[in-house]
Amino acid sequence: MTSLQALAPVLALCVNCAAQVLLFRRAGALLRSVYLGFFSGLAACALLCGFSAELPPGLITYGALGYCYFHFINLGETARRIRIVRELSEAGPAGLSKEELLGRYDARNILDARLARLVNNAQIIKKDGRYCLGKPAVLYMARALLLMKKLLLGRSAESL
Amino acid sequence: MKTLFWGNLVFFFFFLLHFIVWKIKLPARQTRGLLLVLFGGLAASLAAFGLFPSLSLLGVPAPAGLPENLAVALYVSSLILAYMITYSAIEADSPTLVMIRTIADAGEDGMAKEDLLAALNNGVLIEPRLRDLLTDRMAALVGGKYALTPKGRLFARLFTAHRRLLGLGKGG
Repeated sequence: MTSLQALAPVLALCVNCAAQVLLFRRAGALLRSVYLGFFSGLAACALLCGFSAELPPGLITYGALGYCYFHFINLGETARRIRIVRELSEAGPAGLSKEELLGRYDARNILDARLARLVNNAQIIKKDGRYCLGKPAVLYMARALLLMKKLLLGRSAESL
Repeated sequence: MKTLFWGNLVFFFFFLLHFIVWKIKLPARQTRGLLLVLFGGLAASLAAFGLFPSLSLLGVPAPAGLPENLAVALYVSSLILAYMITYSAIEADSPTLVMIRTIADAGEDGMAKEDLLAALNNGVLIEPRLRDLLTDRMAALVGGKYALTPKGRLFARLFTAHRRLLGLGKGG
């Protein structure tokens, strides 16, 4: 094994990030840029590893790093904690009281953004002013995470 | 073969250790606990490979030399990071997933937005995240106001820079 083969997944991740940013800035479709960036990195990883015994672990390492990058983008897009940190950062050293923070970002903002995304992706359907389940893919994901939460933490909700 | 064998062995051994520790007592700072158990385990394993170069298991010799150890370190680190990111969704309730479950549980009649808002209010969606920021020492409560610590500012700068690079807004 060479050092280049060992470092191939990290170099491929750099290709992934650069391609994703360039593609997004040019075309503006976030999810598409994430997929295309990932596959660019995958090709780079295969080229750097070569068709050798180092290829399978290299691809798994790259896959896991690519998964982390996807979640990094997703955190910036949807995570409440990141949004709160950004609001506090904008407020400067004086900070914000809970009431001031809620004036900028509250449960209604969170709910509205998610309802719009879920309706756009047909995960839920709006019928006579009420929301019903659409495609069940996210429900399966929710149930899988609930099962892991029960297994690992022994509870079904954060507040319990 | 070596990277896959030793990488998986190290990751799953310390993953199992984390599972046992969590069953005995859940750490107050779970992310920090995970970092300690999993990356501490990786560091100990790499030290063992260096100290016992003739180590072998099921006929597979331990990684030797910088490139092989680097490959195992990267393999295990990437799995740890991927698990830690997934763990954050286990630790904290995702509003999207809670909404989907709540709507599914409501059946064919569905749910009105105001009913969802009653179930998912500021006490459920905002306050736990504020408490997390204090627990993880990313923010401090000074005179009734939440202010970022240097760690929190670094975190904010990282995401702000990335989203500025993409030309995106605040998100959330």
